[in-house]
Amino acid sequence: MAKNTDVMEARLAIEEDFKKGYDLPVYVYKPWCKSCEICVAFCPKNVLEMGEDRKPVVARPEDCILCKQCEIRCPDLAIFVTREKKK
Amino acid sequence: MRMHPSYEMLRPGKKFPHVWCPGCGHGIVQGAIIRAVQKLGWSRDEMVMVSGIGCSSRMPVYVDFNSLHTAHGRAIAFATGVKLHNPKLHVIVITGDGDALAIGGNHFIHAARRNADLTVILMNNNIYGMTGGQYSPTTPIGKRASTAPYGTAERDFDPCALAKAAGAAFTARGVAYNALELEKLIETALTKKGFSLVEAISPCPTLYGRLNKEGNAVKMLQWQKANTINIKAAEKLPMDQVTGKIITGIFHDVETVPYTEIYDRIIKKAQGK
Repeated sequence: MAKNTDVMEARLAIEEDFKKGYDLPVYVYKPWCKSCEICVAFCPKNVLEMGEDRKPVVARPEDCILCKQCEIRCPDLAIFVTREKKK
Repeated sequence: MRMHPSYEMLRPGKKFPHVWCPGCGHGIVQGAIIRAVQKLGWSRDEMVMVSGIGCSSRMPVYVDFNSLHTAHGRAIAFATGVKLHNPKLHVIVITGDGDALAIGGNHFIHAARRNADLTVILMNNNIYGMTGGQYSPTTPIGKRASTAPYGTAERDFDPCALAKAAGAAFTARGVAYNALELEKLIETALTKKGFSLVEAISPCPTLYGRLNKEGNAVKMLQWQKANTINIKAAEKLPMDQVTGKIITGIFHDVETVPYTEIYDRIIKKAQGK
């Protein structure tokens, strides 16, 4: 069972990962994820897959079109796109 | 790198994940409300979120606005008081189908009749989720609930039609599946003067979905995707293709003088100004 965290702890943990060189287009903050699979099912480019721990994994990052469909539909605010679309 | 934009609006110190079940649509509606407020550029200090009791009414705990968690069904009454005291505040009422239409039914229709300047987000999951799946005023006829094991014998309310008939200035409906449309509807409702209602259809996979064999959260959202028609498209279709589907979009939108302005005039009159 993952420890429950507040938004400050979440931000610090995510920023720490970014500093360590996290470079995928989608970030999953696992402590908040409840494994509902909505992000995996509604990704138009099939970028995400369910991992062995029942949390989404960014399996095909090169296919991501940064459409934010996962971000707007995640009920738990646990997944988001890490880049802005180039205009 | 980009951080999740909604994190700015979450209450610090409150432990997440939130209380809602996996795949509950309420979280999606919460995201849409946060994005709508951010789009309008309103600060957290000028927002007030008022709620009653129920699954949906847990939201003010998580969103870092001024908040008021009130008695069952009475959220609209408290919110009217907040708005009258300080009309500069933007007051959002978060309520569920049972909270607004059964326990608080009178407050709902009379706030619409008064045209109290509130934005009511009615999160309709067709069931009483928090108390164990009893049927609610919006459970469709024939659908199962824990208190209707063979299907309910009662017809359901249409909250948008009810609010319009009672005198609301703005009524609209969105679905959790189409979160971007929902976000736009909430944004329009927030800027609207007078009583505005946005009904957000939100799937309850744990109780409603399980009792009615509608599958998990993904299947319920896919059902919404397949069975939702925008009002502009629905107007052009024959009746038999529209029956049984969820109609979304803006149903009613009129310019009105809100209750707070009329009340201010009365105060001035009483003061002899």
